[in-house]
Amino acid sequence: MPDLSDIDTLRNRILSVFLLVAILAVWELLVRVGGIPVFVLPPPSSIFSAMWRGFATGVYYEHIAVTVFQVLAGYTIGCGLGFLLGAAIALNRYVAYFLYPYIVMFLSMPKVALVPLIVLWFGLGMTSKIVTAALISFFPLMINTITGLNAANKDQVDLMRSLGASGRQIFVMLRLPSALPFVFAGLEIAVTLSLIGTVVAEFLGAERGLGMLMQNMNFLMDIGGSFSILIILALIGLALNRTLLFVRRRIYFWDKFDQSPSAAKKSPAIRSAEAL
Amino acid sequence: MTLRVPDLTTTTSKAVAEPFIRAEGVSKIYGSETDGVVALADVDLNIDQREMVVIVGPSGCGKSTFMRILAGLTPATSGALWLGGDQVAGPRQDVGIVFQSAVLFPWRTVLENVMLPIDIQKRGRKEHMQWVKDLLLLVGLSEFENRYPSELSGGMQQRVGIARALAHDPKVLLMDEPFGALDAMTRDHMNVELQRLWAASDKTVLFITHSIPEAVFLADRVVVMTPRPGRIAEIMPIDLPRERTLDMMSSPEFGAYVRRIRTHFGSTGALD
Ligand SMILES: Nc1ncnc2c1ncn2[C@@H]1O[C@H](COP(=O)(O)OP(=O)(O)OP(=O)(O)O)[C@@H](O)[C@H]1O
Ligand SMILES: [Mg+2]
Repeated sequence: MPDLSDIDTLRNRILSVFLLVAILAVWELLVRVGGIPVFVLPPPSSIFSAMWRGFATGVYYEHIAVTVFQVLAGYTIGCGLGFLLGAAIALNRYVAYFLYPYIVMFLSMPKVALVPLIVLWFGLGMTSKIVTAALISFFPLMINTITGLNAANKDQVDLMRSLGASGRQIFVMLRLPSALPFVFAGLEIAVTLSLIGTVVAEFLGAERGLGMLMQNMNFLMDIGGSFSILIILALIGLALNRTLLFVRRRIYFWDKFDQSPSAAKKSPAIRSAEAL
Repeated sequence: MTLRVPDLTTTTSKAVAEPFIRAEGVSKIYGSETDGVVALADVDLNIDQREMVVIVGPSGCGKSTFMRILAGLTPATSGALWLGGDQVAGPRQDVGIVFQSAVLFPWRTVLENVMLPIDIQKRGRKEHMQWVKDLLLLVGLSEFENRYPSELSGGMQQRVGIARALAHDPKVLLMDEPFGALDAMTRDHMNVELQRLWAASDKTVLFITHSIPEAVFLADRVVVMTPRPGRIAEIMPIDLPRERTLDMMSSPEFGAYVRRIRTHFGSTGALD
């Protein structure tokens, strides 16, 4: 995103609200007067009423809670394991040598193709969703941890060695902090992917959750309802990203000082398309 | 600032007995013995305590290699090196290094960067707080102790690197083209500062550079090296009075030294 803070004035904010209202009005008008079928594009009014109904009856709360729980559980497990295995590979040449062929194979496999099998193996409950989210967050974290732990500048390593630093000190004081930009890039990719993975798994078979709810609405031609779920999913994704950004600013705080074109910022070791 | 005043009686007696740094037949071949790159060939060099020795030589002649061997970061292929009485066999705790780039840790403040050797060698931050603040005063960065490296200019960063190299009070300071990345004016200034700092201390300095005038300005002795394989072509004592000033750089004596060194590279013109 370009830096737009200089034009973020009160006047422009009001204009922006007007723009939104105008878009919604034109949309509503097109659907009602223009004769676009409701199942192709529901009017904003029907999306809002579906949203209101969902919350007023309390139906949405439970599904939101289930989906968010699955995403967070899978994300935490996948990222945790990905970091640990990545660290093991970065630190031990033997682990790297024997595991690398499998990793490369799994990496080039589209992980979403595994989701039907996962649902088959782990059932319609929450486990299959958590496993999917974990599997999908695992790889970006692992790859970025490996890259990050090897990203320490050679002169920095030599400097520490010349002072008599132990391998453990070099890891804690240098390699770990040097890996942080990469680890956070991995965490950012993984958070979006784990939401996608969870919803896909829910589409394929679930008892509860936003994906399953949306699937049902599609069958019932409740497209307004489907759109309202889409909006909720977007808001969940946004909230997760913002939370991560907040944590990142606190831990990887020197980012804002770092003017050098850091490798992590320009090209994360894994792109989100590969990770899926 | 109370940098330790050297005990002159021991320095003189030591200088007579044995040189502080002694390199004997040091060679380095990267790769295999038969078809590897010969970076250093049979280097003999003695350096006294409190001496400022500057190595000049064209790119790739093995200057950094020699320094890395002396610091114990790279083993020599053959030959041996002694520092302060014991043979160099690996990294040691009494050497301070300054690289061409400042090599600061961006997540550490200026003060914390200078504390790095104290942290690594577990000497205790509390006990050394005043010492480190004195060092920052010495390099003129007291006001910046809580800033992060990227908030500083290149010259300031390099001064942090110098303060850090002094933090564990090493006997030897190894400086590998420390001012090579700075503009000419800052560089002159840094050289004056380094001379002042060295004169007030008991450090032995080995300084590497591409710049002949810089070498003559700083050195007690200039070691001139030849292109690959790196050998010592000449060791030239610089008999200019201390403390040297930038004005002296335009004196005829200074020019004579510069020309004399340049004759070694006349054909290749590899130096500035
Ligand atoms: N790790 C290494 N592996 C293989 N060859 C190396 C290595 N380090 C240096 N060399 C080779 O050894 C020779 C000397 O390198 P060195 O870095 O010591 O030169 P230098 O005098 O410091 O050059 P410069 O002035 O450019 O810094 C060069 O030919 C270089 O290619
Ligand atoms: Mg070099």
